[in-house]
Amino acid sequence: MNQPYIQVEHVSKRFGAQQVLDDMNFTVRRGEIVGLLGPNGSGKTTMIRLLNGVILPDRGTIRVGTHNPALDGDPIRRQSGILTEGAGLYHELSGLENLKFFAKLHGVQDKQRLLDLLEQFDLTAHMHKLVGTYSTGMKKRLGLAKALIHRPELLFLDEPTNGLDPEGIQLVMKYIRDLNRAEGTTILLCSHVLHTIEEVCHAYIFMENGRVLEQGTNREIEDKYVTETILRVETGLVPTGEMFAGVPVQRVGSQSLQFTLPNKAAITPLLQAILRESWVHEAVITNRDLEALYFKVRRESHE
Amino acid sequence: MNKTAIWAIACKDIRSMTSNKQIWVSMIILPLLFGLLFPAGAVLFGKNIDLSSPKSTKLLNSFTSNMPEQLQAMMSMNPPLTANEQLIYFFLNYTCPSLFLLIPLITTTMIAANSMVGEKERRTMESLLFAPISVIDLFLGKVLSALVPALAISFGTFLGFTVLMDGLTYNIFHELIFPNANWLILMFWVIPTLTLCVILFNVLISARVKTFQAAQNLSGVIVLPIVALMVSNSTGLLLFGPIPLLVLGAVLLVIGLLFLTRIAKWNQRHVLFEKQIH
Repeated sequence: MNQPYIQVEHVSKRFGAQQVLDDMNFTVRRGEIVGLLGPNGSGKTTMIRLLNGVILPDRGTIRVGTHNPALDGDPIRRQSGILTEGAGLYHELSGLENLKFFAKLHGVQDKQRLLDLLEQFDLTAHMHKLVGTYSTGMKKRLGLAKALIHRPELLFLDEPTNGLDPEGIQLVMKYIRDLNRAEGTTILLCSHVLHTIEEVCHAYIFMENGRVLEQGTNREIEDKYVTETILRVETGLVPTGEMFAGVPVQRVGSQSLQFTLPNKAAITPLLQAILRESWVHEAVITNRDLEALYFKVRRESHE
Repeated sequence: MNKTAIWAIACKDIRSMTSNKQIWVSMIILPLLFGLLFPAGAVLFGKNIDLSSPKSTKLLNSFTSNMPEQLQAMMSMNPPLTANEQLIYFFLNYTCPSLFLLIPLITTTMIAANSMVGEKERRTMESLLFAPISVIDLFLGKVLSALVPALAISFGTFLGFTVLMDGLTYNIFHELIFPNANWLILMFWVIPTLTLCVILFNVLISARVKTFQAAQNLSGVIVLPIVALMVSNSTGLLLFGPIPLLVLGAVLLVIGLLFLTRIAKWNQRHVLFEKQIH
């Protein structure tokens, strides 16, 4: 987990007049699941393409394992799998025919592997149907199976949950987590739907306008950006003023109060004080989930 | 060279073609018309037309006097051919080769023009460029996907043409006039090499343009006139016998191979990616 597997240093990329990436710097350790997060047009997809060596940077250096994708992309493409946003499947072929085709491109001859992947992504019953007749979610799952045919050690997933229903999202996220645990696959996951990836990622890279705003684990980013703790408590307590037990309080629902604490250490004394007067059913820190951190980082970068 | 990947790409494209009824029906209609129905109709017409009237004789003379000397010499066989037989012989040996050259070329132009840009329009080009295959293997796969059906159709049509024309003309010439050396060299040397050149050029165009429409238009404006010129000239070579045809095929093969090396140089992965995806 400690060895840097992907290293990106001062990478810039321009398409015509548009500066898509501007001095990108980040690292990914082997075996990590890293979320590459940012709004549409922030340069996430371009970064993935650069890491695969299918486009070249204007400036900067990239290293994936021991290879430079700009000079030596074939080994990277051999050991990596990718799910692009459009899945990149042939609609006039069946699901199984698609997998067979991509298996040949990757030199995979194990037919059982294809059947196992179809089974894992709940597509066995549909494997002989033309992909053109598949729903968006089925195409996405087949695209993921396609990316995994050759058991890649590095996986790029560009918006893997777009178009999936909640059950599909759960299936895909569980697979990603299991794959990472079982095979130690390094996964770079692009998304702008933050809550779906929060539970699988070890670390995050926040991007905006082709630059890295912040990088780190949830804890690291939280320690750096969260200067106060917002606690929402479901309780029967009825505070008399704007303060309770020396903590600012605000009513946010008929049985919900929001407390602004200086740090997490202040939570226990506060809850003890509330419990002396009323019941407590739930207490949640609301300003440290991924979405809150993401907006906090972006806000601070604009200041 | 990754042969498995090259064949996988070719087979996938051929499978896509054959799964579309409109495409394969249109690919079969042209050979049927040019290679079987039209020649058979011409032979029957040549057999039955009355060329004994002074008007017809005059017309035929004006026709044959415009023929190249080599063809006139070829037709002065022993025993001399009648006017009807001359007409049939002329048509089968001078006009039909042009038609046979057009069959694979027209067939492949559409397939090859669609090859690269078709992947882009279906949003599958990314998948191919992200795969661990070289760009030259990708091009070779695309070339094969147009070459294999074109040659299969041409050879199949030639087989049908040979059987049908021999059947229809045996009672005139009292020998099997097909296949002869000229035709064999034309079919199995000149046509494959010419088709290869045309496919390579079309694939190159297809890798450079943004839409299939543009590829077709460019192909129609640049490739087809050149092809038409080559077809008309190469059929003239039939009159000079096998050696010039062998030379022509060799020249075309060299051009094709040069083309292939250029294609690889002009289409590095990142160039192709930025042209086709961005």
